[in-house]
Amino acid sequence: MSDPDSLVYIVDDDLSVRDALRNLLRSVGLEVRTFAAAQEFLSSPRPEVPACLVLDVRLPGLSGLDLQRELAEARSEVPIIFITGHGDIPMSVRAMKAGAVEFLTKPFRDQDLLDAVQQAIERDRAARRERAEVAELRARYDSLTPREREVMMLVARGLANKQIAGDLGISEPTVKLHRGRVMHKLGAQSLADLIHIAEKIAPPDNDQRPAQAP
Amino acid sequence: MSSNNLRLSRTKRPWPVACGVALAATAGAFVLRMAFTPLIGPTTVPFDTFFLAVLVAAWFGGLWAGILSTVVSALASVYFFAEPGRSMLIHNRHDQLSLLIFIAVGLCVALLAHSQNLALDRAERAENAERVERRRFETTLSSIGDAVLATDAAGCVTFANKVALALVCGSEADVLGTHIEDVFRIINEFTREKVESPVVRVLRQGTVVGLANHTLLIARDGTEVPIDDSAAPIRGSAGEMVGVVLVFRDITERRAAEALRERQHKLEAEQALREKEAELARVARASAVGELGASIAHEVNQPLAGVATNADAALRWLSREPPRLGEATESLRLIARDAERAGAVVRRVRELLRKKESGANEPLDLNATIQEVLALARGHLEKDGVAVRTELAAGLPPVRGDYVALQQVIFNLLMNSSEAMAQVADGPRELVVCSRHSGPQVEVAVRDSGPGVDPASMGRMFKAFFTTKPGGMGMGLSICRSIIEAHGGRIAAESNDGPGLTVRFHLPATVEGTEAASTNASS
Repeated sequence: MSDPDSLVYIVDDDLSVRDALRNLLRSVGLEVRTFAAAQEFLSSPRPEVPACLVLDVRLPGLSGLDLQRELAEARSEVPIIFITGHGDIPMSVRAMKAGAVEFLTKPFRDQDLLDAVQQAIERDRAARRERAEVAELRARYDSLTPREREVMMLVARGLANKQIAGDLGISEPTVKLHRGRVMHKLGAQSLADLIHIAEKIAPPDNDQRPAQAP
Repeated sequence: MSSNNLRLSRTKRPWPVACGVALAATAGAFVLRMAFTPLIGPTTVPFDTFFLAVLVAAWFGGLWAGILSTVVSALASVYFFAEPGRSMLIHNRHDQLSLLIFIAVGLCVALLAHSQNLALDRAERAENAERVERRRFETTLSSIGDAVLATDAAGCVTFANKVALALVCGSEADVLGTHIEDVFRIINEFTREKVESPVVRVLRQGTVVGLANHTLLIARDGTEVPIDDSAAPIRGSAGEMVGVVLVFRDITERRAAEALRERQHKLEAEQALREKEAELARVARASAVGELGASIAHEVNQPLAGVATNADAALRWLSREPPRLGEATESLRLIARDAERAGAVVRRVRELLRKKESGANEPLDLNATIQEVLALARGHLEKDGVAVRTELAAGLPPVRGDYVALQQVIFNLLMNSSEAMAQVADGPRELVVCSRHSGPQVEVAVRDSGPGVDPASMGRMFKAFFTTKPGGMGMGLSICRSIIEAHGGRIAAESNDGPGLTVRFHLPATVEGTEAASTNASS
């Protein structure tokens, strides 16, 4: 079974609502999985494709807000669109603060839901792309030798070869050699590229990230 | 000497009488002396008999009568009985001395009699004043409305006014001189134990003593009178206690008036409470109807939302190039299904209304009622995130009763449980509704996994105004109980082994139903 291009999960305990939403989303060409309970959704495997979750706030057992919290704790970053028949403001504020994309109160216009779903999938797609890119760069960074990492960070800070040689106590030609290897290994075309990459892979700690297996 | 004789000696007689007495006494003495003349001769012992005259005159006539008698006696005795006789001369030196002594003694007697009379006079005035005072005192005590008893320092009754005599049912003769404990017998109204007489306490403590409430006086004829009293010491001039005065009054009428007033207040309060309860019951019923309405609205709204969305989807399927007829058909099928579901809800409401019209006391299947209420309450329960499970016994015999009222009971119990569980942040929210047939009764239990109720409050749960909910009125369960009891059943709550509470009610099954059920069970 091949994974679809994108996926919409629907968790709603009402059969009519579940079927209607699946039908609507499928009619615009989206792939849909439905669940009657939050627990059912949590225990099902989820393919690694851009996705979003359409979630009823009030569910028997584990509620929609409970599910949102559990997903956050599990670092599962699927965007959530809440739908509810009895929306109240404090609840929607709580949901939005916890990172929900949209909070729709029934009856909502179908187009609003479709827009929200599209937007959420795009957001997830971008987030996934971003995460993949960072992972790729980190893998490349991890293949650098300690000396190359030192040189890279100093270059990214804007130091000239001569200054770097002075700082590290090595000759200028050696710095040039390391620098060339760093550019090659990270696939950077220019100095600007290199600085960009350095920012992406090492936001919190500057140069001494522990080596991780790619 | 008796007071009568004393009174004869009063000097306040008019002066002619006093003079007469003086002269008569002197004349008597003269006659007496004359009577002695044959024995002793005419001119011996001239003064002695006149001492008697002076004494009598001074005693009965006072100072001036005494003096008059002395003077007249002296003149008469000198003239008639002193040597030489028939002359104002006295030859005999012995007689001259006797005359001087007579005059001196006569004047002294007159003065003595006078001072004696003055003293007696003072004493009598004082006695009179005291008598007047006493009479006024007795008149006052006799005419006041309260009963008054006075005792001496030993506790024996020395005075009792009319009211006191009437209350103790005795005459003055019975009471006076009797010890207070035998006259004034009091007991506690409730314990019926003897209460120490306040008089005895005053005698012991020397202070004013009020009586405890709820004291009954037992009269000599055995009648009991509620009284209110106080006792105080009577002090002598040196401050020593010479007796006790006890004042008490019959409070029967006051009691009756108080009781009447109290009863009226109570009746008014009860009336007010009943009206309040009725009003709250109306409000609670109205709010239950409101909640039921919200539930029904939700139940209809879900499938209708499905219809709209499926219709939208159908249009989208058809507008695709090429049109997706299969999916459009499926959409229409879903629309039909949801429309049917909405229709079913409407039918159920209509059914409910029909049963409402059909009135009370119809045989009804509690399982069906539970299902109907659950279907209607579903939205509400879902809103609170409650998972519902039912354990309904098959072949439950019908019960006889008011369908709407019983429906309200079940709805109230579900709502209570649901709201209780909504207070629990974590943990499962499970609601189990069970029915079973036990003996001649049908039992329904609603079990939740909420915070439960502390054992101390368990007994008050079904009373009006008991609530654990912040905005609760405390009417729900009290209404449930009145409905169940009106159906000849009973309702109770118990804590679960685990978290939460179970509310259980029993209703009598119809006889035919019970027979049918037992036939089914045996076959």
